[in-house]
Amino acid sequence: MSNVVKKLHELRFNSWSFFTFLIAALVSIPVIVIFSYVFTPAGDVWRHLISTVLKGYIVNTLLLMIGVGAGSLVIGVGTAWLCTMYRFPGRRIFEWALLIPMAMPAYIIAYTYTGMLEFAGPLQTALRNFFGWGHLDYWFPDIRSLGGAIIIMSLVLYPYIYLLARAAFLEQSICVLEISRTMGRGQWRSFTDVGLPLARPAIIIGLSLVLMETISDYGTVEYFGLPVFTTGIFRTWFGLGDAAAAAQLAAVMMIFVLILIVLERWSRGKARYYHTSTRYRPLPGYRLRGIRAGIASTACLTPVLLGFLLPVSQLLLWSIQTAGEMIDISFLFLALNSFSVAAIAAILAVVIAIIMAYGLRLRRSPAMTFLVRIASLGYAVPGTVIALGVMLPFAWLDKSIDAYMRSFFGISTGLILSGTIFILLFAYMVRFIAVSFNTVEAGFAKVTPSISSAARTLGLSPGKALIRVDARIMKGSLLTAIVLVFVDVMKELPATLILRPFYFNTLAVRAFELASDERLADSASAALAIVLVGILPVLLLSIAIARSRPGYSSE
Amino acid sequence: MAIINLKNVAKSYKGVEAVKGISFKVERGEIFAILGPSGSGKSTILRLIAGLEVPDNGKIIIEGKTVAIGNGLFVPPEKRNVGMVFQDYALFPHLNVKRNIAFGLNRFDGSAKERVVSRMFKFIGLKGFEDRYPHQLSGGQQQRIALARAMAPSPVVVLLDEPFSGLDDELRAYTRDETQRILKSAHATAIIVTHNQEEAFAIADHVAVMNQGCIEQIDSPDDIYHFPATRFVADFVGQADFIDGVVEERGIRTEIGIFSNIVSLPEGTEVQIMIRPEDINISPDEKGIAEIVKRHFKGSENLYSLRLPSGNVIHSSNLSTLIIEPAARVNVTPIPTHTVVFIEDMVVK
Repeated sequence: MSNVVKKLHELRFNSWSFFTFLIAALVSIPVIVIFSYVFTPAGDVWRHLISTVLKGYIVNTLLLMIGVGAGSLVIGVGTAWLCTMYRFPGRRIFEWALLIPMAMPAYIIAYTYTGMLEFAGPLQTALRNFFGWGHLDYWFPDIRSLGGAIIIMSLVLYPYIYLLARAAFLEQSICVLEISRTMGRGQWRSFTDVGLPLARPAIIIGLSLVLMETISDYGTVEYFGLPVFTTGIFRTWFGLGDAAAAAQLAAVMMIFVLILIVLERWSRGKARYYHTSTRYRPLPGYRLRGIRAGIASTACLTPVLLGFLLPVSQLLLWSIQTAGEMIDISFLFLALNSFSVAAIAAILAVVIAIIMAYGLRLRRSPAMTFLVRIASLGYAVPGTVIALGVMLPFAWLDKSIDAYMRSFFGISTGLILSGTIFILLFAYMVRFIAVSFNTVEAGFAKVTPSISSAARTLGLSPGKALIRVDARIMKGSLLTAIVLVFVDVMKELPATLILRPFYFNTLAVRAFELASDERLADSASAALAIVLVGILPVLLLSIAIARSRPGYSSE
Repeated sequence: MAIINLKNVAKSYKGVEAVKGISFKVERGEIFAILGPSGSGKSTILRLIAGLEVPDNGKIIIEGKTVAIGNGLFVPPEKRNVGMVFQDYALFPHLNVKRNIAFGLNRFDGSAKERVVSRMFKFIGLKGFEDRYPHQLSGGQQQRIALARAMAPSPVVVLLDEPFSGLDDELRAYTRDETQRILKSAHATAIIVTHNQEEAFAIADHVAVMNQGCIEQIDSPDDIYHFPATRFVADFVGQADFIDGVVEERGIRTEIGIFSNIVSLPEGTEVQIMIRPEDINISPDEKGIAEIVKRHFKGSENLYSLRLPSGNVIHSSNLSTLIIEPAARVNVTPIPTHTVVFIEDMVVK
């Protein structure tokens, strides 16, 4: 009797742990597959790659990272400092508006600017008309270049740094800044000597997120024809038809990613020790006047204008111009596809995240914590690499099943996994489980352990307590997690492009295809739809920021 | 028959023993307090009884049913029928007060549930608050809701973990008396954990004093105070001074006088006598043996620190009307109503 009860008790705890283990194992498959190719003997294609293009991939990727990193640092830190420390016209609007470019996928803004700045585009046409220049009379910078890609990605990625830097500046006790002033440092020196060093860990977290996005990007670099890792993997895999060499290329790329992961983790650890005070006063804000106020407003307006307002206006214009031919029943189906796959992925990701977080909460052992860490590394792995890492094992599995079924039953099952929506959803889970997990785990933090214990002593099993108490209290976080994953899936391009079933199109894929065919105006309606949905989490984020501002009461 | 019975229960966290093989019984209808400093393992005992922790060793029996044997047999908390009031009350923020109280009443049908809930509201004197949400209530009200929620399913025992520590002083005494009234009028059995001796004495029928994972003494509040079993208990519950003495023919000789030898120790034995401040009378006398070191004014009383010829400092509490300035000399007269004799750390019976 006693043994039976003991077994049951252990099983109850372990079923949650088991699920967490299973998920973590499944989610880490793609990365493990990619790394396993490091040890396979090099083929001809790989040797060819090393001698020809690999160096270019590395150099270009590095240049892109340095450029985008520097660009988003300047915009993100600068605007964050202005908005927290100074008062100038429009500051209250800029505080949240500066986040909005986040809603723009880089590839969409890339198409838009290409259309706006090309020879026949509105800007060059206007210049020619105004100055009476002819063809070849003048030099105009080509946006489809490394420099162009750097500017464009900086414009949509700086909000990561802005967000974290701003939070860090707000968390700094005003006292340390005032002490710095009383000790004879001016405003600028106080910023460089006190404000900036204290916020450094937070800024580095933001920077590593920006760089992860930079490496992951496929849409922009492909459209601009830049030879970097993501485009190289595509070309090797589909152009040269060598999946093994593509995987080896991906493994080299993962070294970059791992460095960024370590950088981010390390900074997160440090950021905790940089909280100088637990008591806050509202920041007084130095009032700027005249020309200084004008400069501050312009500095904050520029990224919003270039990163959102201008491109969105252009997209809107194109959408209206092409509405007649583009907005039809097939567009609706496209939207429906995008919405349903994103919704399914979002709900799935949140359910899995709940199981993982609850498993961790019930039994927090070092092994469990480690597994969950592994499972949540997917956010750093580029979509292209995940697609590759998912496709290789599933294709092998399909072939094995097919061969087995044919030899034993005489039926060919074909591609039962890799040709279906299943594999796409799996890739989304690998990529975005961290997004939902982090949000859900933060939600669980709201439920104090004694509330869970109270539910248990009042007669609920762990599962029922989760449904009737924990999930209800953290409803807001669950909703946020769903929205975040939903939008990320809507925007996702490379993995969707590779893994989607035949004839299954989404808005992102359609926008990419049309833009690649130089039908920029036609791609606008699909692109605009993605951007509009993308605004949703940005709004949620700005509301959350307004509420959680330290030093201000939430009432 | 005891309704709660712990036998040699032990629990450690990461190699640190929080509870070291303790045993005690609680009778039906009794309010039992576990008193001890923070970190003495008292909350762990509650969590072990509730089933929120698995013991490493020992046996827990609730109402004749064994619910835990070592880390083998284990009945989960939802099957133990115990009520618990948490230090932070742990009310469900998403439910109104009424649904909080009804939360544990799954076994009841609609009308029975309704009846129990309205009876609980009457019990705790919060009728009219049914539709409020926890954050709309004061700390004292939240505490009583938490108590009602724990008591509503008629549990075998109500476990209260530092239930008054979140309240300010004025509210604390009131809430404590209310809690006692509610528990007693429902004939409930309760175990209350606290670090505040005044609280334990005021509310409990029996008190267990804990120190570093062990129970040092279980007794009635009066006996705990007047006849502490160990030096730790003597020190922890109120002010206690220890004066060296030697057993002689007439009694135990100390520097403040002779106490009758109630413990029949052999002559020449060196002992310490425990004295509470209220058992020492002082009167101003220029030729007195003791010197006033400090007067601690406490409102209703004056507590004096006195230095004896040996250099030993003892205390005497007096009405606040008796005022003697520091450095004055006084005569010391002990009132030997509760003479407690120690050898080293242990009491001599």
